[in-house]
Amino acid sequence: MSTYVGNEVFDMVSERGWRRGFGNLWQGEFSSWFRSSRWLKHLLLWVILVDGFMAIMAYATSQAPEQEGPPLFLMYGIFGSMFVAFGVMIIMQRAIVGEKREGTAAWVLSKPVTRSSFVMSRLLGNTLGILVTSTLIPGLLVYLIFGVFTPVGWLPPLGFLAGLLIFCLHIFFWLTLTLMMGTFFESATGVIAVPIALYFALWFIPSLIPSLYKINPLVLTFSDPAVMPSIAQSLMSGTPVESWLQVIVTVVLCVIFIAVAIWRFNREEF
Amino acid sequence: MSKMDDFVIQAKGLSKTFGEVQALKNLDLQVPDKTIFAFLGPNGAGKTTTIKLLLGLLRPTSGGGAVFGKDIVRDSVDIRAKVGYLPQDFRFYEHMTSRQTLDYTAKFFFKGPQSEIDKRVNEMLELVGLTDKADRPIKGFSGGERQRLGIAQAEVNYPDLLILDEPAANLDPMGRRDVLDVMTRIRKYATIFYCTHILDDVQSVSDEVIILNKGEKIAQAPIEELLEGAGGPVYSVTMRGDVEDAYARISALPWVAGIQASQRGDQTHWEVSVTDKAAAEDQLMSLLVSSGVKVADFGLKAVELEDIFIQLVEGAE
Repeated sequence: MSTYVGNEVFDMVSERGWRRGFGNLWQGEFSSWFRSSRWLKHLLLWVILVDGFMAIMAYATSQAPEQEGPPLFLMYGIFGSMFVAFGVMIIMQRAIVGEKREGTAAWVLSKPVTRSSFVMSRLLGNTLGILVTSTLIPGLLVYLIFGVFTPVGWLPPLGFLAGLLIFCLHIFFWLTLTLMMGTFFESATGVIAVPIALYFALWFIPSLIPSLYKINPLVLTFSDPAVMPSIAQSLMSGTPVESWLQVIVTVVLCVIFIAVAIWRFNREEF
Repeated sequence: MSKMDDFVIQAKGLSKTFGEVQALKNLDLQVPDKTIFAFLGPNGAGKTTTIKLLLGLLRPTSGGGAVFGKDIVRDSVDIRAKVGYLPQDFRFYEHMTSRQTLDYTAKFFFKGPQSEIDKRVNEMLELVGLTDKADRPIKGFSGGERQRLGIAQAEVNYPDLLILDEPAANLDPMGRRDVLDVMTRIRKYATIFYCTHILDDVQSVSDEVIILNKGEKIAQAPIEELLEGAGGPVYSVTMRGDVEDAYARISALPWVAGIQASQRGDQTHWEVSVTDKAAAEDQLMSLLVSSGVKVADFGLKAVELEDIFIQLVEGAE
């Protein structure tokens, strides 16, 4: 059986194994974020939400320095991670389920691509888009706000960056969880319900069972300072980190979520 | 090349069950290389299920198959590298233009050079008549334009096997004609396996036909064989005058299987089924004339695939 005359002018795709099709899928996902106005819209949203609130907090602190309000780090932990975590759940609920329901996943998977490369491209493309627009750039603006407008002052840059990476890990946890749920459900409601329920469970249950506090991914970015500082806060403020256990647990959970998502998607029928 | 290698698609006992519903039952299928192979059946017959099984989008419940000698479960990615596929319910990324969609599709097969990919994309846009709409987002496209784009994306890699699920759906008569032209042009390079409800198209372009009903194969044959096997040749005769003598003489002939008569005003119409076409061609007309009737119209009745399709499907029920 001969191949059509005409294809010999091309360099054929040479990816093998699970990576088959990944390059093009990744390019497509990257383009959907950064070669359109999508990244800018997300960035504006998060700058307004995170940096806007932090600027208001900084202004309030500078106007009444004698009044003891909530610590700025705690507020950043809430705005920079809780708001973004819910945003991630909303964005990611469509990453797999949206494509399954709209039929674009079936179309893409009728090309020479593996299911694993499909999942990984959606994971990595969205991770880059979300982390850059919701955490890294708004986080750097928070650094400026702290330095210029608040008594916190100029924090050690490397420590602040390390703290921002912890924020990224926290967001990555919700991102991988929501992605995994997308491989199990056919509706967006099902996908988003589980992460939201888990978020509130992680918020309330450790107060009933304090031993869970040390492995709770929420405590990566904000915590009750009376109990223990968050890892991100410790790194940003240059104080020693009490335990890395939350980081290890979160990384392991992310890896499990990704592995389960790939396993489940490989069994999906279109 | 062995005889088995001449088949692009082979399936043995291919079955698929969705819950309680058996969508496909023990399908045996062999599709020869470089043929236009039509896959027919009423809605829900199992056509799309078969295609999805061949492409690895569904997993067989039992049985198996091979495309280009590669297993449809284990080697589905390799199979898809040589296939172009137009799904029945085709969905693109709505924010993309048709040019971007074809470029994206081409890059599942080709790394570069970009100049050659651009040329191929332009060629495909021209092939389906979308050059003037190449840079418009797909979300504004009509059903027919989407279908044309679907055909272009299926053909962009010059596949060895083109699988088309209802390629003429949503197309106007001109679009339908263009699709048939494309299929006819491609046939010397590739095998075309397609589902359709438009039986006129099947009759005009297909080499071989398979008919499914309720998940079961009820016929597979080259198109001529299927048409010939539909109860033998039938001659249509319209005449005036006293036909009693002619009826008695002709119905007594050993190669006449039956005469169906009807009256239209002063004209009598017969459909004469024969078992020996050569004898009928030699003698039928002269017998009619010698019997004293005035023949207004005489000819071999064209057998329509639609009649055979209905006959086979209803016969299977």
